[in-house]
Amino acid sequence: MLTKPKLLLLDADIVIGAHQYGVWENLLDAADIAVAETVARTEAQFYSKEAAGIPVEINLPRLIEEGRVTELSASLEDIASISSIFDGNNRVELHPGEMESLALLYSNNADGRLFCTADAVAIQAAAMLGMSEQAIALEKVLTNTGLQHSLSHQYTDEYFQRLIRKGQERRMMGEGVPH
Amino acid sequence: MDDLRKLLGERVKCLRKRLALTQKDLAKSAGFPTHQVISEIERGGRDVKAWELTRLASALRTDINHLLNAVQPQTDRVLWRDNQEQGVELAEAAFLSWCDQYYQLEKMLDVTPPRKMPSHQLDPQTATFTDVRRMASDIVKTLDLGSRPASSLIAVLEGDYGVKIKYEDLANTGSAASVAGEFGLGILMHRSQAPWRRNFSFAHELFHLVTRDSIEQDQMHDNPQLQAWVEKLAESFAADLLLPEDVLIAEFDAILEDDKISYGDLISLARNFDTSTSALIWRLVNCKRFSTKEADRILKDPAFRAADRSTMAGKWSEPAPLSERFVRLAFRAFKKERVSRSRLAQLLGTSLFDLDSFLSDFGLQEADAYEAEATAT
Repeated sequence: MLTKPKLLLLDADIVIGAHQYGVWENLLDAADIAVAETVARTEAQFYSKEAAGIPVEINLPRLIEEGRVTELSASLEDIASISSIFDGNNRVELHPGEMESLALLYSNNADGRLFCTADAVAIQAAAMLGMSEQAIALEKVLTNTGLQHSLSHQYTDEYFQRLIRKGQERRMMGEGVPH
Repeated sequence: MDDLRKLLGERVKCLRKRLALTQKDLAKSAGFPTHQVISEIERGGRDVKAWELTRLASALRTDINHLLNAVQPQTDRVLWRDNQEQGVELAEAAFLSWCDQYYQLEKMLDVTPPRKMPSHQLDPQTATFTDVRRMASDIVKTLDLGSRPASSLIAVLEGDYGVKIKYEDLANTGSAASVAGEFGLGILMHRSQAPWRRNFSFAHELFHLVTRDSIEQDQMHDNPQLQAWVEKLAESFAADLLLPEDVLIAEFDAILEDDKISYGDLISLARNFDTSTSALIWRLVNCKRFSTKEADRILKDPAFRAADRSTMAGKWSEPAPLSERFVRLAFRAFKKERVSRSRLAQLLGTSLFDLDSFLSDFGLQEADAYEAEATAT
């Protein structure tokens, strides 16, 4: 029996990737999808099925308006908290959309959703914040929802787990939020 | 929460004023419907959402980390060439923010410039053109610029001395600017000018960079006469540096026939040194090969000007806004998993959608094969 990850918080790369693989509509039907406001408004705007192909509009704001995608907004305080963790000696460079997604997760304002990302830095950052269990690879999401698809390496669970381990090691070394 | 709002409000107000923007200007630039929104944010009376923070940071030419943590890079005053006093604040803030991002990438990857820029002592009150000529000659040797300094100058500044070079359309602001800060040295260059004018501007800015420790910038800023004199010295330095006297004279004398040189040969000589014809001709006056009157006559002669113009198209080029060094550094940080893919796109001024084609223009690819490593002995 399939376990449905009902609640997901998607990164821009995942929104674009799901469109490229043609699984976006199925994913919307199979799971309750949310995106951070910054991702919806500034990042995930176009995709193309082939390299350097014609851009096709994603239009997340329309899907949000139709109630098919939920938009979550992090507070100033939550963003400031993430910003201070990853600034200075722990410095990793994240996009504001990724910072907002992580801030939602870290402040428990993501309604218990799993953060789905394919970005090497964002995956490690989740682990550095001690939130390895709250993050998931696209491959696993598709498997759990019966939408198996052949994916490029960065979307696989193998890739994801390698980076989670790397983030956990960095956390052990005192980067991110030490336990 | 209220404290954070208040602090943010104060920073927004402070940065807005530094950029000489009204609340209305900022509201428009950040995409807010009215200036009252900015007023409320500055008073700390409004909750700012993450995406609004991103827009505010962009409109204030900073990033959200700086906006939230009030960390601004420490810099000297930015020195402008041909400053028109229009839009200086915005151009400066964007440039300084970019220099800081560049520096963060260098720190992240533990990259330091192979050589330290020399510093020359020069008292602007007593300095002569002869002092400046000597200094230019020293710099050509120290920086190892060779007999055609213009052709190696940019690569040497960037590659050997880590000077952060950015090209922007500065049409209404100035032709170039330079600055020193905790991030090192930086040059902002007007992109849409002739390549030989850019070379001259680079040499001019180099003067400011090597004399930064001996010429008090605040004093210069408050004294327009002194500033004008230092600018003259910088112009003289640029001509001396790009057209080394011994090389120039040897080549000029070799072309002369019965003490005459054709317009074509004169223009070729200028192109050979990657300088403008007017810089070459005035340098030849300086080297006592032309009289001032003859130089004036040549430069005003319509036949000379037409011949000069006709050779320009072949050498005209416009550089990309971001230098290859910066692009490669950002890409390396991405491959080392220190910079996210979305952030890489943001640093390179492109979108996630266009990132692959942007990178391929620089011969970079995300494919794993790129990661294969070679072992040095």
